[in-house]
Amino acid sequence: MQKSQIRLLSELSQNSFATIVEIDHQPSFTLKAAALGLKINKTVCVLHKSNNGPICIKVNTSSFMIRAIDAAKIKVIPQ
Amino acid sequence: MKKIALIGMPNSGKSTFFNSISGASARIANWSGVTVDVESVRTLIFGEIVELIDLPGVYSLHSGSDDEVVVHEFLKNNQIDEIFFILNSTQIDRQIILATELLNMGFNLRILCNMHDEAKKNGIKIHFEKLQNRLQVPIHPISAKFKEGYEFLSKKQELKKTKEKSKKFSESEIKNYVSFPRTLDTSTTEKLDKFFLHPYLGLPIFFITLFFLFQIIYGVAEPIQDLLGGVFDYFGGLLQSNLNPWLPNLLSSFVYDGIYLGITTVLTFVPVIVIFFLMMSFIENSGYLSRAAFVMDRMMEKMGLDGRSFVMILFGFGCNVPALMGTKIMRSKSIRYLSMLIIPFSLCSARLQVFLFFTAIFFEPRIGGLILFLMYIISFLLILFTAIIFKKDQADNESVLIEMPAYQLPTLRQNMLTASHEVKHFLTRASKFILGGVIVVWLLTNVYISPELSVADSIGKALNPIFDPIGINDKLIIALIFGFIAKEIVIGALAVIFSGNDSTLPDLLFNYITWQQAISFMIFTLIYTPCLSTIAVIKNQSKSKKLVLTSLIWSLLLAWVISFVTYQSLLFLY
Repeated sequence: MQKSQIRLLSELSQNSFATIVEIDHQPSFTLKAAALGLKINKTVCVLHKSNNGPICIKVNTSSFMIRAIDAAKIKVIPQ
Repeated sequence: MKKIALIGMPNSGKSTFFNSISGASARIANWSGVTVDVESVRTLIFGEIVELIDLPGVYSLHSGSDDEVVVHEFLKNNQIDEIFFILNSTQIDRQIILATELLNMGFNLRILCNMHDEAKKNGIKIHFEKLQNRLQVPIHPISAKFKEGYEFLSKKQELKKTKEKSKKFSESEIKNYVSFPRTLDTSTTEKLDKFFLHPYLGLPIFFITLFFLFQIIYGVAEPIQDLLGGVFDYFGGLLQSNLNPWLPNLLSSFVYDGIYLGITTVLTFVPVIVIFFLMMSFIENSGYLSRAAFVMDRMMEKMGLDGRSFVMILFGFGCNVPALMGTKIMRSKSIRYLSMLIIPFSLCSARLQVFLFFTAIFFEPRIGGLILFLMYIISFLLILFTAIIFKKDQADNESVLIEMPAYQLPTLRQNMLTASHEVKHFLTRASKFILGGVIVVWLLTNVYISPELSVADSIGKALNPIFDPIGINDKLIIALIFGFIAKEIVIGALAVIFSGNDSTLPDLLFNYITWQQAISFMIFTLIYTPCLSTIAVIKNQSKSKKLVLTSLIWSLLLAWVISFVTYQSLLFLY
């Protein structure tokens, strides 16, 4: 994996796909995210972005709302 | 009696399943090690009466959220014969992991694959027999929404277990038992989300939806309410004519003016409450609530809150009490406390009945919906204002990860079950206060401390200097005092206070106060402490006397100031 390819989930544009490579967040968030399917090596799709607000993402069969501040703690490689 | 616990992730259809089994007969029970209300029902399962216990929805048993602690403590401290693990079949890939966690803990499990019909429609194929053999537990495809696949409840089928101990189930294994299509058919949800989550249109669409929702409630409920009022008037006339000949005047007045008028006036609002909860359960079951949280999150974040607080505020429009109880899902103390301060400003169904009553008396029907909508706007602005005033340091802002389930068209039965549950809660709560409240109001208005001065009059006169500047006079003050116990009493109290005349309550009120005073009274009722129950819940949830006092003093102060500004401005302008 090339470091230059790594971006933050919050930076992705709408309708783009990426693979999660790192979740640098509090354990409580990481555990809940994992239970929802949001974990390393999973493909994530950005479904909707609001103006400076939260992001709607999809992992496997589930969609979630995540705040940009939290999405900025998830590193991804765009596909 | 055998005990079966119902466990599942949020949005798995667990409540729909529980409601479909329990109907309206669920009860709150005390369980060892559990400090929150957990509902259960005694029902016939596998040919015997068992207790089915509905536990809060959880994503895992280890991340430490309050709900997860409740489930964990419950399972640790109570003897459970079996767990019904309910999962959303369209998300079986991730939800099955929680089931395997429970299996590894040694529980006797039965997996109910809910929304099996949806999964089939989306091309998801679950190989039940293979999965059953792998996990060594019975698995049943069901649809709680349509009450399908419930045959397993009538006769217990034991699974022939293999002797060898199965190895731990891993997430990657699921593909051996479930076939997913290459792309899931979520086009309807995605199409609707393009509209509802639009960066610019999302918010206006949300407010328009709310506006139409309240128009429908007002438009549908009013004629039914009028009809019910007519029926009560008819029977009231019969009661009065039968009581008068053989009961002393005072006793006859107690039975008719005190009990009958007080209770029936409140009962005429039941249709409004039923329609309100039907609409709310439709929105809740449709999946739109999480979209509302999404479009509102940015605004809520600025106030130190999040979209979930907004969802609680929406629930508060039904009743503040469950909304306050719902704040327990927030791990951050500052967000939880702030949410507890703002939720009491949500215009609950009890206050709605007061506004419907006054709107019908003082305003033409064509603007009735608008007046009601304005009250909701004021309620919302007060929420914003209070949040801004009490906004704490954002440093401990907790993370937000909210699931957005696919849209569903809820069935009428599903809505009726959810609504009946809520209406039952409302009536139980209201009945606790109404009868006692109206009797006390009657006593206060009929016990005289001097020939021309009742106890109620003297209280009203004592408080008059405070309320006079906001246009609220003696009789309305008494109704407000009882409204502090529960807003459900306000109209009943007015009916008792104004009784003893030939005219009806609406006519008496119309002649007694001006429309400016009515507006001031409505605003004061909206803002001041909703009821004793909310105070009790704030106290229980926060364990903070300071928060309770802040909530009480702030709401009373705000109520007086805003009523004063509104009333004096209206007097000046008109």
